[in-house]
Amino acid sequence: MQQTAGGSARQERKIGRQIVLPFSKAFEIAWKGIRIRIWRSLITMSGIVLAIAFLMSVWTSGVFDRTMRNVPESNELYPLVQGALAAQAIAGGGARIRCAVLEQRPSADAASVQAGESIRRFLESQEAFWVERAPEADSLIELLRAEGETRPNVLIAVGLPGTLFEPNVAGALESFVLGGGSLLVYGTEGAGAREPGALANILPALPATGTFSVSGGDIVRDPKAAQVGWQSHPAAEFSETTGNAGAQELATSAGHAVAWSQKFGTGTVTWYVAAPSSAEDPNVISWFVRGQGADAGSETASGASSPLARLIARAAGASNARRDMRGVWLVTLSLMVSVVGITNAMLMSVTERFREIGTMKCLGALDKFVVKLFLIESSLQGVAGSLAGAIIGFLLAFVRALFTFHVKDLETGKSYWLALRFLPVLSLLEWVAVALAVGIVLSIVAAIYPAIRAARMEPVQAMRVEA
Amino acid sequence: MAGTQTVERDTELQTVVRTKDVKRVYRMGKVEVHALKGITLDIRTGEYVSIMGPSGSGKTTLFNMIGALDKPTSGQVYIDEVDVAQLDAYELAWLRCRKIGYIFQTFNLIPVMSALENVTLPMTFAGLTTDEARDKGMDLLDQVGLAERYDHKPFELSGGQQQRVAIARAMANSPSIILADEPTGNLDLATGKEIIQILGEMNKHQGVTIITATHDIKMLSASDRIIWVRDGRLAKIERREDLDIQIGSIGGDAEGGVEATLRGMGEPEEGEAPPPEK
Repeated sequence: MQQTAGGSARQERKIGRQIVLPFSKAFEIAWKGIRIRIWRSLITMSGIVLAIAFLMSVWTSGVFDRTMRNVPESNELYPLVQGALAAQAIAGGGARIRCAVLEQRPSADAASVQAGESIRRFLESQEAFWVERAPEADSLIELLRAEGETRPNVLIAVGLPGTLFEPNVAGALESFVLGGGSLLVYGTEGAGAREPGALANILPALPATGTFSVSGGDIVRDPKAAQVGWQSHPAAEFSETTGNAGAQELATSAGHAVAWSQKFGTGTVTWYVAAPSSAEDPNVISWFVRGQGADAGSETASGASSPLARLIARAAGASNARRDMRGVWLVTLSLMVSVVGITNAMLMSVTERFREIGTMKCLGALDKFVVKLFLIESSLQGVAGSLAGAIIGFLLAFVRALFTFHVKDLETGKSYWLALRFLPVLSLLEWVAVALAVGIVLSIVAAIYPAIRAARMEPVQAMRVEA
Repeated sequence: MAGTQTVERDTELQTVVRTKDVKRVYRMGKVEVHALKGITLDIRTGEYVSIMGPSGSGKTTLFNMIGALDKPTSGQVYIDEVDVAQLDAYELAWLRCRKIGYIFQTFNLIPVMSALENVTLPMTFAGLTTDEARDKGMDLLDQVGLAERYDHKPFELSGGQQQRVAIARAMANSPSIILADEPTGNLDLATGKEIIQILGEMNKHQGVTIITATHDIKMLSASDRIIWVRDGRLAKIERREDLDIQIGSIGGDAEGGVEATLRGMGEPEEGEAPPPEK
């Protein structure tokens, strides 16, 4: 065996420079390390697993919730419902909103069931109450004429329930609206047994001011209507406040504000909201009408250019945003906690492996190599942990959604597992990819400090006899 | 005399390690500890040198200096006539990879790797391909008699076997120096003897310079020179022929043993009387 150096009298440069090893070598050694130290790796990973599972379940729940609400029928319905509720809140001067919903029965398919289900859920979140099925004309009239706490102040009719078209109901509706209630009628004209223009028959019963009638899908201005157009109010400091105190102020200052949209869709869906614009003068009715088409589903009432409408839309949007912010904050916090946990676990690992690290340096490992080792180890753990966490998180949220969005039609006894029907696969895959990326990045970030500590270790540490 | 070289080389023996008035001071809080108080020595190529001394004598510190594991506070350490303090991190890594092989008391094999992988690890750091490394590694394992255990992990090997793998690893890149820190410290009598024998063979047949720091008197008979360190200074340098090794004693003292020799080195200085070990 040759000696590589020493013993030669030549004055050549005897000390070379250590080469930087390829990434694959560090990967090899790191991979072996994880497999052998599998328990320690699992403990380190558990932090990421939990955080990503939490993240994933929050996201997935959100996706399911939005998807459940995002069926075509309820797409534009939500803002309308919100609009009606908000209009009532403003006009009602702080009185508690009691919303009754009439539904067309029997429900034909899962989509309608879902639409109804989502409305019910939404209303529950607004503390409104729900009338399960279209009552007979008599009971509806009774409902509308009730006194005190049981009387609704918002009535939403979905799918043009037949009850609306009964003779005496029109009168009850009229006094309902005049008495300060808000009416939202939402349905498909021409569908089923409704002949075009049937809806228009309800409207003449209501006061002429600002009335629109519908005929065959087109909007025809009622010639009896008062002037059409904006009535901008000078004191229109439509403030940002959405609390009831502000609403009261708003209501009194709004006066005879009239709001409507110039743009209507050509589809067969028509809708109206009628709400009193003033608590003092309920004879004046303001209409809040929203456009369809491209704006459908958006939170801002871009079709309506009224400040009031915008205010309503913004109020509706704001509460959603607040809810989202809280979610984001929670998730961020949990991720930060897991980063700290990983750093801790890795520091322990570095301390325990002092001999190994010192020995490697005695064998010629550069500091950079040691850093790479630990970063690779951590990112591998991040991948595994994120995958596990994403799967766990998704499963948890899915099971919850499965049972939450389960509707049983009391009449037919049929069960609808809505979560299965509307599984948002593409969205979820996106989120899994994002969760993976987040997990890996966090694992690497968490490992930076321990890796640097390991790299700074002196080779002489390997000599230590005691731990 | 120094060990024989079987390789053809210049007849003039070179100094592979040289220290010049090396001092090392540690600061522990407010206290200064003078671990080395100025040691000058040289070790020639192909020698088998043992550094001996009680705990706290600076033996380990001197050992670390020679092995480029630590830098002196003052003075110089030359490895192959190159001042170690002038080297940057890359050069130091190269040095540790190619020029010096380390053997530890606690064996220090990488637990996640097999014997062969442990032996070939330094070759990987030296840039050898996997095939070259494997062949060379198997050859080395064969030399230490562990060829059939090449795929065993360290926990599947006995202490003596681990140390043999460690020796094979230390020889991986054909270094000029092997540094062994208490190589027999964790081994029993018989196994220790085996290890010392293997080291001796490496020294004789491969011409590797071997520097050990040890308490083990079995090492004495294998060494060409023994460097006694006491209280941060060189106490004595003996050559093997000069030793009078009798069973259980050195130097013909009736009490015998290393302790006698150490006591014979003079009175303790400055009130310090480190207790001799073993």
